[in-house]
Amino acid sequence: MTVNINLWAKTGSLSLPGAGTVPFWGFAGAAAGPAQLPGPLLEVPQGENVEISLTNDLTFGVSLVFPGQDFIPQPVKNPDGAFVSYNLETAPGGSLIYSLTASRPGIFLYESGTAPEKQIQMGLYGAMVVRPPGFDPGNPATWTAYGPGTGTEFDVEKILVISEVDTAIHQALASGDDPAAYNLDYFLINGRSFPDTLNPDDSGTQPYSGKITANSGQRVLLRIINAGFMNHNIRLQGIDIKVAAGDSRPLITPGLDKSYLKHTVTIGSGQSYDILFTAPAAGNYILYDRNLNCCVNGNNFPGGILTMVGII
Amino acid sequence: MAVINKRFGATDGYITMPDGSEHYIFGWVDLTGIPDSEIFSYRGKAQLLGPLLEAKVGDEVYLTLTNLGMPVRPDLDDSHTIHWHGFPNQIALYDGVPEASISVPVGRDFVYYYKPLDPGTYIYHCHFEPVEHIQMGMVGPLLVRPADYDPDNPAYKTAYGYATGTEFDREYFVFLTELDSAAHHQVAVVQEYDWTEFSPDYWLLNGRSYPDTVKSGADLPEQPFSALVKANSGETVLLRYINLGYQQHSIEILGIPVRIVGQDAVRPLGMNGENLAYWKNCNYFAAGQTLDGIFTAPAPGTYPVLNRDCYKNANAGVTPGGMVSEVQVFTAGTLPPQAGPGQ
Amino acid sequence: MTVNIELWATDGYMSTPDGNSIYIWGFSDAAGKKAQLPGPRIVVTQGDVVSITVNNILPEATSLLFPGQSGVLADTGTGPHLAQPQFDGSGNLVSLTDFADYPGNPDTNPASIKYTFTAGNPGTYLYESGTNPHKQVPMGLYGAIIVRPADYDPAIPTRKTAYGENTGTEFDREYLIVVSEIDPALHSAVEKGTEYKIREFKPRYWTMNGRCAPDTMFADGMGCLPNQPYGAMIMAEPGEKILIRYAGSGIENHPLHLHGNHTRIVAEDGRLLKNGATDLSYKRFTVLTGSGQTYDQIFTWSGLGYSPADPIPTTVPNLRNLGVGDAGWTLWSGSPYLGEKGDIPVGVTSFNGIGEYYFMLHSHEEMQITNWGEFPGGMMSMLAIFPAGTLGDTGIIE
Repeated sequence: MTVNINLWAKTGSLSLPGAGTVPFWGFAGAAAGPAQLPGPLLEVPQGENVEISLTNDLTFGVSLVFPGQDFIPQPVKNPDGAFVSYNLETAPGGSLIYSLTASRPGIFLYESGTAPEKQIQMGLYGAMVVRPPGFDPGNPATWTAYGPGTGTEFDVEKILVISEVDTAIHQALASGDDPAAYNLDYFLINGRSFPDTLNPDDSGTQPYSGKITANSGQRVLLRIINAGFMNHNIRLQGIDIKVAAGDSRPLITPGLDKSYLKHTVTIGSGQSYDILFTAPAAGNYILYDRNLNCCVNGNNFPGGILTMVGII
Repeated sequence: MAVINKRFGATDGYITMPDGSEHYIFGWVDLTGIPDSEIFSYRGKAQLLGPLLEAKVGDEVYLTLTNLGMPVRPDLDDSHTIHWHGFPNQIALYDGVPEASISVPVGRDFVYYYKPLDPGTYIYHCHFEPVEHIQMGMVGPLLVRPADYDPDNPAYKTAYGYATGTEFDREYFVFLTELDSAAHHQVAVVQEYDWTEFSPDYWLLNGRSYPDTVKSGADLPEQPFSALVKANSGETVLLRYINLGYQQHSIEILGIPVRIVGQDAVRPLGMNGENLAYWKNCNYFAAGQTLDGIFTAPAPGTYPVLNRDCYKNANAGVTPGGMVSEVQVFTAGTLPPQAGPGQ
Repeated sequence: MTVNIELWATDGYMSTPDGNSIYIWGFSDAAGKKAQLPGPRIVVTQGDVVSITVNNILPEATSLLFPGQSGVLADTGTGPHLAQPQFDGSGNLVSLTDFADYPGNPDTNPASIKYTFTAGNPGTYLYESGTNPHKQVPMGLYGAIIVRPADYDPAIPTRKTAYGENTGTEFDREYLIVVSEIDPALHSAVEKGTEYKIREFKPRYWTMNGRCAPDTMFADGMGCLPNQPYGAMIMAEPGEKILIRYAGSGIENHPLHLHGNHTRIVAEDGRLLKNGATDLSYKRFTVLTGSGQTYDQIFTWSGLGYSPADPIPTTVPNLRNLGVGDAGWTLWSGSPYLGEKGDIPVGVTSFNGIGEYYFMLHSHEEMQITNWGEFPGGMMSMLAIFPAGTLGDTGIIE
């Protein structure tokens, strides 16, 4: 079987608290839809071939890579033999199909493999969830992250894509200027900085809420993946969390339970962790970046990578 | 069990980045077997990385450090030391910390002795004014083979010994450092540098920056370690990751997840022998850490190696550069057996 | 048992070895005392009901978070309730938890607050400000909590453990090292009342237990460091089990490299690395100590048995041909052997006592072992191995 997905690479405009609007490049899920940050959440069953048709509405080449997944990159090189792109390039105005096999369940990034130091920073990334066999979205009894025997049953799932923005670089690249050295000033959960993280899902440019809501006693699965260029130390204050998978490898396997408890989890760039907890007593619990210069907007606290787990 | 006699000289030299820029370094040069009458000609010929130091568990290693001095900086009469980073149950005299034992002045020799007890991926580096001497390049790879290591018998060609699940066909170093060209320039021209201003502009794999990383060893004599990984499809490849920079890095191979079977020169084993080996798409690790990662070479092709902190894939702002390389996978049977680590 | 602790959130100064004096905010354990760095160590026993009262005399509100504790109650005089994020009347988040206001706030919120929790798990924990934490934590409003296991008994070796009997965490001596960074420009901005620009965060000093090397190697309670009471030297005898607790209270992650031997990490964030009978502890020669996180390790140095009767297999050159004490001082004994002393060059001071060995403990991000660029300094200390039977009562935390 083959899963067919269509994406468009486009320019767009982000809203960041205190910074007004900031230009970005992102993926859209429809020809007429806006570029999103992060790109549309893709959901595919394990074992399928996935074919993503990318249409490039930008003025320069872009590409897609699937780190951690089963794909064979087809890099493009210049006449000197240096990389131009880590995978086949979609020319401006053109479209191209990228293939992978969703051979393992988990949470993955898809992102540009062309000048990623610019294009990922500008927003060309998104998350892909690969569902284990037997997963039925209509039947909560089948909901696990990694299938039976992996201890990853859940009632509530939330995907949190972590990243950063350097607004000066965004302005420069959008204007065709050379970017300055990195000086990150915004830190994002699902494309939003606090307090926007708390707003509900919407149909705009930054559609995914960063807020987690659960009933006391429910099993909550947080799937945190770092699309940024630095590590982030994600803390859930006041709740014991169990690390159930790292880089989409379940820590519970037949005969060996390697899952462990933490309160703060360091996530390197490109890495992911699946975290489980049972929702405690009703209340608001803070989830934030213990890198305390990343839970700010510019110089101001609170902001950045900060959200709430609301337990009802 | 063999007796290994090695002699490393400490001196200075220059390295080249792909943009043609030259950078002053301190570093090591292999003097093993060189007659005393000729060692003076090795002054100024430091290489980055330093020569590979390799031993087997149970070997006796006599490593002579000869301080050749700095021809470019004759005013700089710094001593040097060798610190075997991670050596278990070390005694202070052979640990290379000058504040806690001795250092080797210009023109002098000192013999360090090691009898390695545990296999794994280690590092050696100078520990004299380490903020300066390590950044200036006094670093090198150090690997200890298991006692039963036999490159001609697949079951015994392992990182950690027979039946440890660490068999490999080929092995490569992924040795991370950074280059702050302003700091190197200040040292070259006898100026102070405030090390808290450390701000690298080149990020190096095996002492080289992309695209030099994928050139052959012989192409850059002062930077003799290629970072190109080659294998036939289906072969098992051992990557010996080392971070001896001053930053944390996240190294990714597109299309190739890696299973970590060793970390800091020990197998990840619980107290009851639990096998805690794990898979990573991105290996995020820090200065002073080493990892042993294994993968099976997939279908033929070119698989990019990159730093997922993508701004580090640059040479003084020009991309692609920095910590980028390739895994080249060939049809089964194409490549002859590997001649040695990184070859 | 109920444990009542009273802290004052106040200001003070820390000293650096290069002669700098840096304004800090921090906690003290008595009214009228200056802030100390880090805050007072709190040692309790699993199951204790711990009440910590914060009296705020800073010019802004402050609070405490207790990462790793659950069900923390807060009480500002109206009765205890689950500590919660605090919002102002417009719905803006003003603190990650209930806070003590600053004295004289016209809104007249109380300037003290009592937090209460049951110490449910043994281990190493931080307490730290949850109000303007991007400023208050780097300024020094943090400290460490050690929770002893319920069956802890230092007189019974099988019960002198970090996590309880039969958890494989027995120890002979223990040390706690809290690591952080100091950007003096930010501290100065707070002192002068100018804008605090976290985006310009650029540390010039790195600390172990609030001290920069070589002050890290001084004993606890040195008179010359009145507001930095805790030393960071690890002392051990061969074969002993040493419990080393790392806590990262800064903004950055630090790779702490201990010479001499690997450590075995037995717990992270105050949670034992065990699932029933399955042991998940692991060995490292460099521990990447994440900010806001803790790592408990067991360390043993047994040596390789060299002695004058079983000598080293190399000849040590004449002292004239060696560098010893390039800075005018050394920790070396002059001998290759533990418990032996030898000659030291004239003019060099040896701080070696009885032929003990010294091994370095340091961040391997090497600019962090400087004081504003000058080596040696910063996030560096030593492990001292003393001959068997010579060390006495050292490495006790009470």
